[in-house]
Amino acid sequence: MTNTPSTPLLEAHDLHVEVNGKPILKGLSLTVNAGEVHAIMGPNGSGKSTLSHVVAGKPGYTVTGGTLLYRGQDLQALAPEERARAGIFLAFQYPLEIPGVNNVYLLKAALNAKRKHLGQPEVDAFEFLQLVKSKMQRMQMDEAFLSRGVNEGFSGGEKKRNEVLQMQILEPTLALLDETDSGLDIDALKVVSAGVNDLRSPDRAIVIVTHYQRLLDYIVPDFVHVLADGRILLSGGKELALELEARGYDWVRAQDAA
Amino acid sequence: MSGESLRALGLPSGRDEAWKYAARTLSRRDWWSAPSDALSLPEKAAIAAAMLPVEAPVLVFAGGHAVPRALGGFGALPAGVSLRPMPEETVKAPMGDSGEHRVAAIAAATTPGAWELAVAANVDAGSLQLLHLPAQGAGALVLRINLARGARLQLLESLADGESAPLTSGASTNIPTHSAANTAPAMLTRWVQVSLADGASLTHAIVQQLPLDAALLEQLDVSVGRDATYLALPVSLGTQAAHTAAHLSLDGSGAFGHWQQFLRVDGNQHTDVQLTMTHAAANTTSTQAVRALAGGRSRGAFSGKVVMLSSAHGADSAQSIRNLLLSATAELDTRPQLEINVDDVKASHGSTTGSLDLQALFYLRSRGIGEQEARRLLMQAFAADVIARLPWPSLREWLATRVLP
Repeated sequence: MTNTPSTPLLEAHDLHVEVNGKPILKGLSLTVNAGEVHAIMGPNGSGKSTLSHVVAGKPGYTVTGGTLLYRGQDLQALAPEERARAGIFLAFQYPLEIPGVNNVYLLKAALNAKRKHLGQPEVDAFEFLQLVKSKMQRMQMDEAFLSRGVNEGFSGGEKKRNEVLQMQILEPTLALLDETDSGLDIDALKVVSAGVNDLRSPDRAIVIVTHYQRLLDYIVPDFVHVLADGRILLSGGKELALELEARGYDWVRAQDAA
Repeated sequence: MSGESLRALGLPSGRDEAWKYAARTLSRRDWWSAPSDALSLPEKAAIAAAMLPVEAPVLVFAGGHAVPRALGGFGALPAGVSLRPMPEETVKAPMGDSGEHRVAAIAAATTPGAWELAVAANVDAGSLQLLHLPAQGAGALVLRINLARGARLQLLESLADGESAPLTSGASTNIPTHSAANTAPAMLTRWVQVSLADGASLTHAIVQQLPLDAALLEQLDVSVGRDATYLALPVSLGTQAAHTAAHLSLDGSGAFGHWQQFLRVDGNQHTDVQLTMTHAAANTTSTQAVRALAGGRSRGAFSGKVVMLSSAHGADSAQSIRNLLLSATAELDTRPQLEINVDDVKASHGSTTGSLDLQALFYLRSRGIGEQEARRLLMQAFAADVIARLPWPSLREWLATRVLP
């Protein structure tokens, strides 16, 4: 693995991905460097979620062409858990409820898996609990969370807070947020956005997949890309999101056709 | 009784309702070889290996023989608890031709001795472990458990072989041993009768991890008195073929009866459970929960019949059965039945069958949890509510590592 400062964290080149035999991504190219925040926008069914899933390694998502590199390494060779340990984190659009697996147990197992991968000792139980509690406070989460099953009985907003809590504790190098704003009221959106902004750092990249511009008022991106029909049709700065809001996605398609 | 005449006693055919889902292989000849007349004692190491990690006095049986204390079989019994041989004439299986009681008939005809475990009135006896090791050939055990008025006991029965124990050379010479070479595939037949007097409480865990070439026939007949509580916690992991018939009868008003089972089959294992929960008195409450996991080409069946007699006013019963199939060739059959002869009662049941949730599996893996560990977590989670009923944390922890097929 080459890991010089110039190596992008994520590099997709002419990426083709099929799901259940159906082509979804059709020649997507995207480069994400450390320190950057990218927003991927686009209409429903454009392949936004597919992009985040294929980077996280969801089974059933098959790369049929092109390259997908994480810090210069071919991601296809890595199982989802190996990608996670190497620093990739996907905040799910629909976080799973797993009754019977405790929230804190999962967090600790996840952190220890990563630490083991990095050759570090297991986290101290007491320090870990303190860490979780302080992050919970930051995410304005209820203490009852500690004794519950993973996302068990959580509201939509609580689940999204939990995703960002996990992210804060695992401190990923590449964070992918899949429609993290969906189903959030304005107060929850502010809390979740603040949690994500905490993670902005020169060593880390954040990729936000969203349908709406609203989230980008709170997490201001460095780059905005429009994904439609399985490709990035247009890229720009944060002002592109506002333009999209005003003109709609058909405007981009018309531009692309022109 | 010779192996042949033992086998002649026979098992009912699949036409018998109670044996419809039982493994046909249960009549296999080599499981019915004659029991050895001689007391074949397990090694101390085997006893130690089969023992479950629970702080409790231990009583050991080998093929239905009680292993004397001098040979490492008996710990001291708690005060107020007694274990006595039952007079032969009192060991009588329930009458009738019905296949429902066939296991009791076989056990009564072949047991080398029947035992009565009793807890005196108002004694809280704490925990007790009964260890059942198979003998050579067929073994049979008849056990009667009597709790007097207000008595309490947490009983852990462990059915295991202890073969995984390292063979100790130069072990004490006065202990007869069996070596792996002359251990035939064994059939263990158990007939356990439980009688709970008014206000008594029995937690009855049965952890079955017999070898994969062994077979088990088991019958439980339970009578629960007024305001008494019976909590059955069967954890069924082993054997090639097993058949359990459980008849729980809530005979006194306000009695509670609970059957909370964890069942795991894999490879070509075949286990079937026939449970009848009879509400015979007013304001009786029962629950039946089964969490079954099946992999390989295994088969599991659970038939849960709830009967509410005309005397059972205000009875309440809830049944929840969840099946998890880990392979496309495994099979789990569920048969809930309700027979209600009285108006003002509540009875609910629900059953689900599915496979491991792939979305949940990916979610865990995406957090860095390895695939095997993620599967183990999901299986543990699946059984968590039933396992949580076991009153010994050390046993719950031990089980957590055994749930993976």
